[in-house]
Amino acid sequence: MQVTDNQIKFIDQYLENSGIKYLDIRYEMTDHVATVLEEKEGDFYDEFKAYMVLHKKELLESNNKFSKIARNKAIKLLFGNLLSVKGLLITGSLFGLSLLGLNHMNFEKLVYVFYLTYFVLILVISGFNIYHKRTKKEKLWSGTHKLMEVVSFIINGIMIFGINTFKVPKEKGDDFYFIIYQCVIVSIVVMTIVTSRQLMKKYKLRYEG
Amino acid sequence: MKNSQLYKGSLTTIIMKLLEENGRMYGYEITQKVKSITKGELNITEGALYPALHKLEGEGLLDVEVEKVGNRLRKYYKLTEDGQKETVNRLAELEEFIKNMQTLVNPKINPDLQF
Repeated sequence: MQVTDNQIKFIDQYLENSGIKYLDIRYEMTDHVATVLEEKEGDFYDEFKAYMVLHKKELLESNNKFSKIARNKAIKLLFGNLLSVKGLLITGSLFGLSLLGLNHMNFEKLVYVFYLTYFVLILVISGFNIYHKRTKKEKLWSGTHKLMEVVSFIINGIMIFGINTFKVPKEKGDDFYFIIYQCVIVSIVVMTIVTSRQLMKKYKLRYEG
Repeated sequence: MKNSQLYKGSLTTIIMKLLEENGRMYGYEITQKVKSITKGELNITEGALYPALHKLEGEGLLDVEVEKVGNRLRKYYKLTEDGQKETVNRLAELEEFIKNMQTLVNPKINPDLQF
C-alpha cells in the first residue's frame, strides 16, 4: 500500500501522543513505521494497529535510549565549548571584570551584580521559551531540550539547595574562590545558550535544509 | 533478535560491515538486508537497531544524511573516516572471536588443543 500524507501525519501524531516528544526521533520512527506498512497489502489502520501491538514497546525503549545518547552528546559538546578558547575567554573575562569591579564597589554589591546576572540570564532563557510556546514555533529537538533540562536542573539545585551561593564569604581569603565559583556558573549558563544555538542550527540544517 | 544474547555483542560490527559494503543505508533497509543475507534466520528489531545506530553516531563512527523521500524525511547512515578504520578493527576482532569459539566448541578442528 502507499502511505498518504495524512497517514504520515497520523503516525507522527500517534508517536507524539505516545510520549515520543522529540521531532528528530519521530522523523526516523515515522519513516520506519511507514516503510513497514508500505510493504503490507491490507487496510492502513488495521496494519498500523497490528504493528503497534507488536512493536510499540520497542519504539518507546528506543526513544528513551536515543534521548539519553542525545543528552550525553550535548553535555560533551557543552564541556568542549567551556574548555574552548571562547569558553575560557568568557570565564577569564568575567573573572577579570569581577576583580576590576571590586575596585569600584564593595563585595556585597559585587554579589548583587552576580545575582542580577543570573536573574537576567534566566529571564532571557524563560522569555525565549515562553515566546516559542506562545507562537507555537517551538520544535523540540532531543539534544537541545535535554541539555536545557540538565543545566536547568543543576542551576535550580544550586539556587534551592546551595543557599550559600549568594552569601558573602566570611573569611577574607575566600573571596577569590567565591568569585571563581560564580564566574564558572555564569559561564556554564552562557555556554549552555551558545551550545543550544549550535545544536539548533545543526538540527535545522539537517532536517529543514 | 534471534538468540539475542549471542548476537547482541556483534550487532554494531554487523551494522558497520553492511555500511562498509553498501555505502549508506537507512534503518529499515539494514533490518531487511540482514534478514535477506541470513535467509530470515536473523531479525534485528527496532529496539536493538536504532539504539545501536545512535550509539555509533554518538561515538563519531557514523555520519547522518537526511533526505526527503516521498512524503517524509529519511535518515541515512554512513561510515565516517574513523568508522571505516574502526570497522576493520572490529571485523578482525570478530573473526578472531569466531575462530576461538569454533576451536572451543569443536576442538577436533584444531589439533593443537587436543590432549
